[in-house]
Amino acid sequence: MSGLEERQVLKARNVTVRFYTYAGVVHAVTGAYLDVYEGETIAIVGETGSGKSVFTRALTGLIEPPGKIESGSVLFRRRNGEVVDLLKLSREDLRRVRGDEISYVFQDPSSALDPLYTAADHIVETILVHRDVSKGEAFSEAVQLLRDVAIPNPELRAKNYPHELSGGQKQRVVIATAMANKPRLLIADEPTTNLDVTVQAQILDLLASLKGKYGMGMLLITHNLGVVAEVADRVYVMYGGRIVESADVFTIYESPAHPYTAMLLKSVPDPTRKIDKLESIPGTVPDLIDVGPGCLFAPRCPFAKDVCQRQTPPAIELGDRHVVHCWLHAKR
Amino acid sequence: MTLLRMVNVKKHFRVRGSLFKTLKAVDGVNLEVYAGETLGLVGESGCGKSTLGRLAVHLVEPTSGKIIFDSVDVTKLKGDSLKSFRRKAQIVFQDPNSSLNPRMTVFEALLEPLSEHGMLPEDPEATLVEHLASVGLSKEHLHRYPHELSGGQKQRVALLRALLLNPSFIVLDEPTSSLDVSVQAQILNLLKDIQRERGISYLFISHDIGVVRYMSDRIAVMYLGKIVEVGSADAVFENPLHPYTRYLLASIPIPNPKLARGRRRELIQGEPPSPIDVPPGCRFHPRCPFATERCKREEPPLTSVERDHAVACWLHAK
Repeated sequence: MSGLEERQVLKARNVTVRFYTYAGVVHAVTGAYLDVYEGETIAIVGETGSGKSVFTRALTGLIEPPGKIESGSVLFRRRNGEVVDLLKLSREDLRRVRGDEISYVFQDPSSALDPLYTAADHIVETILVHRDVSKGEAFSEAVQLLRDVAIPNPELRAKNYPHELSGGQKQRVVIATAMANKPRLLIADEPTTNLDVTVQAQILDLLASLKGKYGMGMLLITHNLGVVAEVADRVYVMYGGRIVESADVFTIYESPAHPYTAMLLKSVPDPTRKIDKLESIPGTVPDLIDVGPGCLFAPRCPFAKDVCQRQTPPAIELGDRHVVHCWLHAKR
Repeated sequence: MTLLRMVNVKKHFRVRGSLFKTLKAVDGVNLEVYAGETLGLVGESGCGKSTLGRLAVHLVEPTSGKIIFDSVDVTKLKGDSLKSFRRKAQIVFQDPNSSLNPRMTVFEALLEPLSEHGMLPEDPEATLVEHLASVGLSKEHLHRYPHELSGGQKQRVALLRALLLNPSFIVLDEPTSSLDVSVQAQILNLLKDIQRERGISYLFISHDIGVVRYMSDRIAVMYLGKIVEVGSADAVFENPLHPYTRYLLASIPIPNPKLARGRRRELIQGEPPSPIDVPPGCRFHPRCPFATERCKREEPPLTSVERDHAVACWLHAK
């Protein structure tokens, strides 16, 4: 196992997660990988059931039974320069990393916030768990963080309970909590999906400015290809629990190599253009219970060949860190 | 030809626990839907677009105003004539999980509206199988329960339920918001095909402006219970006049990284005020950088500025 490159924050390899349910074994994530460098925004894109959320939760061991992380390594460079494999850390050590050096923002701020805690309580708790400061110091940091996330009247708002805040403000409080210990990596799972477009644009701007200010890496999980085009530097496309393509954002949008990526992009209605006919992908996403061999996209793929049904496609490097998992690009 | 005309329609809800406060969900809307067209209705959550959709098919009683469908005021309809209106004006909701009864098979769910309106075919099973094909489903789906279908399939059933009665108007309230993009594209194309074949009018409600642009011939923009701008889709997108419409369009993420990064965008600050405390004058003035004294006092009327393009804003008043 090689270490991390310079300026690399995270390197995940061969992460496999399965869920052991009554209906059968769900192959939620199979052999997924990921690289994040300092100051980079990485997007993981996929539809329902693509495994994007499970994969990013597995990065810090956030998988509960009946789920199990079967294999993989997640190398992470800590603040002190030490490189650790997160999947080998004890629960106790992982807890020290989570909320401190790696923090999460989830989709629904109402369920991320405790209705009996004020905005400041959430931030203060996160600070006190990880750092040796007084309650008073933590509170003034909390107010400053609320100011950083552009909440008006932060001194007053700090004492508000979640029900007294709007949806956009709640998500700002969640982000302030995630930023409380200046993480090296922020993982945002559909952070703007429940918000209106005007508020979504505000939150995306906010995340970009925080990323610049703190020099952290950001991992954005979303199904919204518009959001990806706005903020991501590099993109990983997931389908059926596997990474099918990864490249820089311009390559993904301008010359996608995987048929799924290309078809997915064409099925998004572009608000800047008048479109006569959207292309749609026939069929539905695969059932991940007891999956067989072969490419999981083959049943919906207009270019599928015999080999696609029989064997899992290999990772093919197209140069410039553009990787595609598809037999169409394999050399004979 | 106008199929549906709303004249100064209002829907105010009493606020629980207060004698004097009302929530003005829809507050004086004038809007027309033409025969065979799709009118897109956009706005942020809480702007009243769903209430307006329910008013259009008379699912809620308006507080005041007229709703004229096929030259008849539907608010005055009763008995058989109301029933016949119900057949002609249908609605499809966002979440098929709550619009389909989990205890009814597809067959039962589809039979119900037909028997309710006395339109039962001689051989229901054979007829319904034919209809299933028209929305991309097949015989194998007929005796399934909703939980045995995917999200996209459920929405096709919900749509077919509305189509079976041969309506001339369907309100589509966020019909693809709970679906994945690849499936969304299938349903949107299906809706367009059906419209082309049958000439049905759609009122298409969505917060996804890309979807609305794809679907709509004309677009209405709603803010705090009022229509602030309405016009042909091209006019509203290429030449938005109301400051709110401009902000709304500027905040949509564009699925094209070069364009997305090339543009300079100004974002609107804050969030819409509550429809319980509607600002006086123009409702948008507290967030509008161009607001004048007049905007704070007088409410601008929706006025036509060019052919098929009207805006409610003092900046564009002659």
